[in-house]
Amino acid sequence: MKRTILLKLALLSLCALLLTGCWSKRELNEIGIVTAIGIDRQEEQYKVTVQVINPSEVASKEMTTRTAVSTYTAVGNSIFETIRKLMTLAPRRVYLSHVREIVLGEEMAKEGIGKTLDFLSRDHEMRTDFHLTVAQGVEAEELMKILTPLERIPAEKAFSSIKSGEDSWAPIEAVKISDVLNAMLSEGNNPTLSGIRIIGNPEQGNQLTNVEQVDSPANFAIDGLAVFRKDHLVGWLNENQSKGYNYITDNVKNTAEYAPCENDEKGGITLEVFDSTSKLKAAVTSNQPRISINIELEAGIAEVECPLDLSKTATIRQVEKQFEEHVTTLAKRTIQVLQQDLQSDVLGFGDLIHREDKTYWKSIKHEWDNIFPEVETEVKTTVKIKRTGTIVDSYQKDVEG
Amino acid sequence: MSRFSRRKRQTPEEQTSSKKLDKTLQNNIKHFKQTLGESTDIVIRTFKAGQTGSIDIAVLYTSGLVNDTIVHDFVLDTLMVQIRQTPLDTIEKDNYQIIKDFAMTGGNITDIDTREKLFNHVLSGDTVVMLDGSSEAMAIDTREWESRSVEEPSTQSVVRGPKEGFTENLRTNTALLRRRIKDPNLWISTKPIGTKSKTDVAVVYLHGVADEKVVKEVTHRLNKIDIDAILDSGYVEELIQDETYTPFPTVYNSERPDTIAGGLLEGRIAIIVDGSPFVLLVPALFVNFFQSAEDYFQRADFSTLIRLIRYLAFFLALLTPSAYIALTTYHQEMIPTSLLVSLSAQREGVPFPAFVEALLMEITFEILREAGVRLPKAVGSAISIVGALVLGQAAVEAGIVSSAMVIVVSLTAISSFVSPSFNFAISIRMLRFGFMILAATLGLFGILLGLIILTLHLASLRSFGVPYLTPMAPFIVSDQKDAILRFPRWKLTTRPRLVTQQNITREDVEAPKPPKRSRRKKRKKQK
Repeated sequence: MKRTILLKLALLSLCALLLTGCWSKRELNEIGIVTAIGIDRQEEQYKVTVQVINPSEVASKEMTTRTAVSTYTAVGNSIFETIRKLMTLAPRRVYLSHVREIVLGEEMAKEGIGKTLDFLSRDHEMRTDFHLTVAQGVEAEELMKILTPLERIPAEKAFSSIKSGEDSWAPIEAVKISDVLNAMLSEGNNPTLSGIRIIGNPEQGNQLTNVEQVDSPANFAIDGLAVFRKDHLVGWLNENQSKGYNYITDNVKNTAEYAPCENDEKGGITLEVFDSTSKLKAAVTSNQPRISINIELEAGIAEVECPLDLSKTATIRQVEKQFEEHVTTLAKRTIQVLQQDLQSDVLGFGDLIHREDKTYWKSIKHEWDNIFPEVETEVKTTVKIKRTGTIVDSYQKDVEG
Repeated sequence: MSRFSRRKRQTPEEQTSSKKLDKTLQNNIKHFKQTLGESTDIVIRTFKAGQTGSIDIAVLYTSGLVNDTIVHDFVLDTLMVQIRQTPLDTIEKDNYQIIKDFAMTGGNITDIDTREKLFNHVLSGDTVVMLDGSSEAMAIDTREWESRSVEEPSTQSVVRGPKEGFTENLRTNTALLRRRIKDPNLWISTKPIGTKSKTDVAVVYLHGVADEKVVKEVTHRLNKIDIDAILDSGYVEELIQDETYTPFPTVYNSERPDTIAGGLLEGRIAIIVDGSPFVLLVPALFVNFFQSAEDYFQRADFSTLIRLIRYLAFFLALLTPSAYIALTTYHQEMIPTSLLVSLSAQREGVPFPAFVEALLMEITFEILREAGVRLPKAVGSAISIVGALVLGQAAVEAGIVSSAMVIVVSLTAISSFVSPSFNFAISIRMLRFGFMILAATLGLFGILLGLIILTLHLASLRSFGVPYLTPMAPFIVSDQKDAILRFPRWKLTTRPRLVTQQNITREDVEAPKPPKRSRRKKRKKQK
């Protein structure tokens, strides 16, 4: 008897469990999946633009004339408030878990991004695997509105081109929010963010005609690296400088490297770099910090325009030497720009010295920004050519001869 | 107290049943006729025997349950023709004993002294011979009736392996087992159960291998059964199982003699019920329901793979709809972006929440399945066509369900057919709905909660004293060889530990190896 009463009570309490359920339920067709967020400053307020997927346009069989994504823009005091304010415009609750890309406006980046990042790292709905980028020369809002060919969701295009670019093209660096926060909060380091830039006519970018043409009139490209000092944007690294930066920070997986022929011959020689490692070492002698950078490349010959006899090891050695100089110059120029023009230690030299000599670092840590431009550096590069491709000698000689 | 409490059964026939047979033949026949209500299938042949014809003899049998040739050639012919010349009426001896000892040519003869036994034997197909002046009667085994021959079993079919199946005939079934295990230790004890049906129930086990305690427990539980009729082994299963309120079966059943013989060799006990081709096997463990007879006929590596697939299918059948509901209504962040986009594109315009959608489809499927099982075979194909159209295309095109849901439901359906035991598949079917409700109210948290409760419940179950989750909980290393994995035959040297404690070692085979002499030497020798 007692047992049955207990059983009934247990069943009743189980039913009570069901009553609490469902409160946080969201059906798939009740949420607007946000893939990209653009954040700009408008006077003292934030201007937030979200790019929401139009699922039936992306994944359904029937093609319509509607665009794959829609953007909504609102202005508010804080990012979260603004995103909630978007509900006045958007028919569905914006859902942030699938954000692939966050674009910060250049103006805002110059003013400082520290406060902005608070929301991005705090919000429970955000995953932390999106890429952070800075819009070069334009507002983030404008970038949000460009439709892309091939990849129907523009944010997906940006995400994948950064990701594949990082794997196969040296100047590109994929930056996640954790990288930025780490660099920003570290004493001897500063963050960099990939730049993103509109190519062509932005006016045409937000129309469907943009993707109806073989050569889209408007597109965006991943270009350059935004250099920050703490949380302020101080300037940009161009393509070659970004390359040098990535060589130094050991962030090159695979890329192509070109150098003109020696002896003033026309044309050049291109290597496919398939492995690059760099080792940075700091040494402090008589209160003078010194950084030595050792870059090692493994490469194969990808393209030859010079009259070279590649069957000889001496020639290979000669090419190797040529590229060693080339990469050293790239790295040195980058360091020069960072030390002289931008004066921002994005390479993490400070951290390196800190790790090498703690007491010395403590004594200079407050003046580090002044010391950084004066730090002596030494760059050494070794290039090893492992393959020459499927042909040995270039037939250039025969063509010309 | 309870509405279902037992009432004392009223038994009018019991008053007369234990009475002894009368010495007068006339009285016995009269009583016999009366009790049976002069049923037309009962044959009573009375005649006179002896040189002067002074001995009254009656032969009783049930027409249809006996082999007519045997009755005529060996009973009637013997009594009416062969012993005509024997001076039965003149010699001063017990005629009954003489006939039994010298005349009757039947193989299996039993003495009867009570009326109850008389009825039992006649109604079971024996032919009873009664003599006037004798309070005993002899029952000659002449049983034979129309029955299904040994056919390929309709359930648990195999690609490779014996294709014989049990029949409704108890004796055929015991013979099928005896043919597989020709060991004197294969013991079969039979006992009629059911006050009205008097169904023969046989307990079969390998003496010296099966655990004596379990044998005793089985007999004890069978003896406790007090029911009017047993029409199928399902009755027995329900009356002897350890736990009623569990979705999981704790008694294994099979139509396959090889499976049952395998179980006997492991030390399990089989219960054969006359009239049912499904033989019960106890103790039954969780892992048994994932083992098919074919696992032991195919190569070990292949069988292991198939078993792993069965376990995977078990979880798929149990959790696919609930996981889909949980992920799409609570945890969208766990779905890859591109999948999420296509899922939400499909859900565009679907009027119901994912849970209702899943419930709708699952119920439709269950109805279709039930209809398919009961339908005559000729119309069965119609159901599959309607099912394919309703479940598949039409529902999606009408926008009632999303196509992803169709995939989920079909995957679940296919997975639930993978289980080699039909009754285990039913338990998964039942639990699936519970998990769907949990997923719809509490998301993945609910599913996990459900799994924890399920595991606790499984761990609490016992089948005839053996923990249901053996050999996983309690973990027995030596039994892992034939649980989730299936080790090569020469590794399966011991019987399951908890099922039987005696006579553990079953074989002592070494792994097959190539002959030691190398080829090169051999060739030299040949030269």
